[in-house]
Amino acid sequence: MDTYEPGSVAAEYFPIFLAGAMTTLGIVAAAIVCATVLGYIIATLRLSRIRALRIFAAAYVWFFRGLPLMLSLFFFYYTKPFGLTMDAFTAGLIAMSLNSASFFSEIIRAGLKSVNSGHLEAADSVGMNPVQKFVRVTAPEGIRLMTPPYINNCIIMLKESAQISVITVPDLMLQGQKAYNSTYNVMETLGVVAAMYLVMTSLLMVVQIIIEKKMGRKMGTTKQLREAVGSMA
Amino acid sequence: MIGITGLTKSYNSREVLKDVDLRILPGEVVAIIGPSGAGKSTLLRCINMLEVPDSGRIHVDGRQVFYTPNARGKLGVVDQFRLTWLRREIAMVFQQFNLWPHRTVLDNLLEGPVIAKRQKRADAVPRALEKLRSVGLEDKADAYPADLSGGQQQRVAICRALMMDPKAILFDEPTSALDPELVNEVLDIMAKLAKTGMTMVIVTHEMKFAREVADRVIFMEHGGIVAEGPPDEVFQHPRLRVYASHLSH
Repeated sequence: MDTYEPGSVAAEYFPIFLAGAMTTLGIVAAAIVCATVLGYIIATLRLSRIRALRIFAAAYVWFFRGLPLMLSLFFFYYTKPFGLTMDAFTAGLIAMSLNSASFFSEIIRAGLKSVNSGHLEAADSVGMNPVQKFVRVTAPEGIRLMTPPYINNCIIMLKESAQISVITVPDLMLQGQKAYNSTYNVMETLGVVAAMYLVMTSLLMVVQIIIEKKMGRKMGTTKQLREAVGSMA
Repeated sequence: MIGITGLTKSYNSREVLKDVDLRILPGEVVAIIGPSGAGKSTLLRCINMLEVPDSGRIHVDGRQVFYTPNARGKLGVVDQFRLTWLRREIAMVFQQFNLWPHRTVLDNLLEGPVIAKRQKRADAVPRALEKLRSVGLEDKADAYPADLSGGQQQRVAICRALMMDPKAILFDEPTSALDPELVNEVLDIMAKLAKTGMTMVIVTHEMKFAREVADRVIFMEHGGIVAEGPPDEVFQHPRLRVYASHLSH
């Protein structure tokens, strides 16, 4: 068995970890986009006037929110659903998107419902059509309300994406496992992997702080809130 | 200007408006008064269809904007196109001001003309600044609503209504959410506006204001109009005297 000098695993495997981190970022970014779009659709169905659509959306949320991500990953990767054979990345992306859409839809639904109804009536009262009302009032106010839980969920997605390593997607977690399997230096490997995950989650938190600060200042928020947001940075 | 016939509206099984008829002439200032739950605000909100009545007819400026549902129970609002037309003609001032908190005072004034009516921003900006000057808030153009007092916000909301060049303005208890010392700055602006010949329909609890500024007072109770006419006449009505005596305590 080779013995490794301290720091040598990190140095030798760093490019591979970096490639793994890129795969993680790529699949999470793609899943966030897909899950947001799907989640938005589910949220609007949930708020629809048509009962059947509401029931469908509620059933979707019940189903995917109630199942472990791992189970969905195995389903899409191993069972060849509907006769489709897909590579690990695609299976992982689909499973993550469907799973996270159920959470996003609840966040978006809550955000849309919390938009001040008086502000919407004001938009009606100046004769905005429904599209203008959405773009000018609902979206900007809703996004401000949704940002903290939304980013929170993105961070959860990023961490949970480690599970895709079990269906052989070469993400940061899998590269880490490969590295300590061949070097037996678990401590150092996990240390580097952990640092990389923290960098990625920190980036998301920075995004949240920027959005909240920007919107908070524009809204003329109270001094306390500004300080609270400031102290997080 | 505005014609309402046989308007009814219920929430669940509670009748809020019972067969209300109302005519508003151009340039008229009408105050609607009465106890809470009388249906004043609902009547006002039906005029620009923020509330959709159950049955009746509403004409604005010669155009029919609502009619009793047909036999199949189809909704009476004519269509989205006519609805947006109606709302661009009839402006509204709300009890809670309802300025958009994510936009500056100036942008709040520009949303209607620039976004909804597609006018040029460059044309609308000088008009907006002029309106702000007329209510003494020209230095607040770049402030956000949260930085203003309630009275200032309501003055901005009146400017926002005026920016629509409306044929009439509806006021839904415009001073009820204000601290007492801020009420007069808003009433003064409204009195000035009344003198310019603007058609105004005002739901209010300010008896003195209704008496001094309105051309006509409408007293509502239990979803119906109990008395209407010139202020001096209506204020002699026995039911109103009972109501007013409650108010002064």
